[in-house]
Amino acid sequence: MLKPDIRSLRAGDRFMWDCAFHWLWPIAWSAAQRRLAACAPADIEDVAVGAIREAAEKVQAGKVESFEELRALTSVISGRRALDHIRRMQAERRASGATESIEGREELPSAAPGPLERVNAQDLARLLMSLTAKLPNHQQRLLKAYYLYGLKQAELAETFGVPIGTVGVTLSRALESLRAELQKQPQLMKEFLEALR
Amino acid sequence: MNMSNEERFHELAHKALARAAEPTEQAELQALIAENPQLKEEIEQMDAETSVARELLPLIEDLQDPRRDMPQPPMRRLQRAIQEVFGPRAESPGELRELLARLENWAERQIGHERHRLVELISDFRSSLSAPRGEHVIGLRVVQACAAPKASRLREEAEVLAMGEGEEERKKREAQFEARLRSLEARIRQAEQITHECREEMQGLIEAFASDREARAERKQARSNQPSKPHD
Repeated sequence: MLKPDIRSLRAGDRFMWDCAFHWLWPIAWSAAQRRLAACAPADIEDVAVGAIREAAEKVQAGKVESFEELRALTSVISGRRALDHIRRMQAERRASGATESIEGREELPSAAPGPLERVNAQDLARLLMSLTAKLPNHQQRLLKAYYLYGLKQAELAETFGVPIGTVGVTLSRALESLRAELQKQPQLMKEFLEALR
Repeated sequence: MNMSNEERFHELAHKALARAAEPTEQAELQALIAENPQLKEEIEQMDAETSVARELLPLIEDLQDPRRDMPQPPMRRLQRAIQEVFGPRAESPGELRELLARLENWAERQIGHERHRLVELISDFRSSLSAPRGEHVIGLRVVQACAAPKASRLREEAEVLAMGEGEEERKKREAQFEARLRSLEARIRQAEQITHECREEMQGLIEAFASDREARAERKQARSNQPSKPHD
């Protein structure tokens, strides 16, 4: 699929936007699905379409510098909109006096915005771009496997064919790479750490 | 700290940060920290970074490895959303003005009659900005595309011209330039027309394909809703 040029998208070129949908849709849908699968699967499409529309508004306003940035921004916006959607559903239920819980409530967000929601969406998108581009592939895979999928270090050592001592050291190096990227955006780093406190 | 202790520290530290360390491992980690007090600071920093990583990793995953079981993009809805953002006109006047300004800068660096004609052409385009959709807009892209690779050749030709040719030859060259510019102008208009027609046809095709898919989905849904006939 043709990778659109940001200038054509900014100009509202319809054909280029049709091409862009094939790149942006999987990202927007996955980000929405991650948050809504358990409690509002029927609303995933609405949230993903809304996210792409919001991202397009930023493109039109000239705030997006590259197509890669647009992809990252779409992911950030879709995730945020999904969380907002859940909060709206919760508020509506409270307002209507409903007492039954919605499914998957253990994964529901708190009423206050999380650390990722408190930082500037575009700064976050740029950080994601640089992390995906600069964090070595094996470090990314190891980080995801350990901190996202919850695999044990012994399992990682077996999967990746490395000694167990190397797993811990590689995880630490991955965190150092993350720190190095964050240090390039000191304001974002400060906001992140404040939000995490 | 020797290598094996360092490896052990990282192994235990990540276990502790993932809240997966056994009490004996916790005690071992504390002992390592007591031996090397700078490790306390290191583990605190790792704790903050791990929290950031936990937040960021799902986003990286969505970006790099989106789910494969997603439905096809709802093209019509997405197209409507984009239309709402950009309005009925496909091209942004701001973008065109920016492009014109760049063309104008380039034209001003040219010399002689060529420059005059280019400036005139750009001025025509500028006044056509408010023209109906598809009339001049595509032409600008063609001008830009044509101008870049040919610019240096045109400039070289003009420089050769300036070096001591006779009056008659100069007039002949200028007439050739003019003829080539007119030809370029005619081709731009033709390209504009073809692009406009292609765009319309493509839009029609995309819409027809989307309707066909929706109709098939509806038929399938209707079939699955039909009660099955009882067996005799």
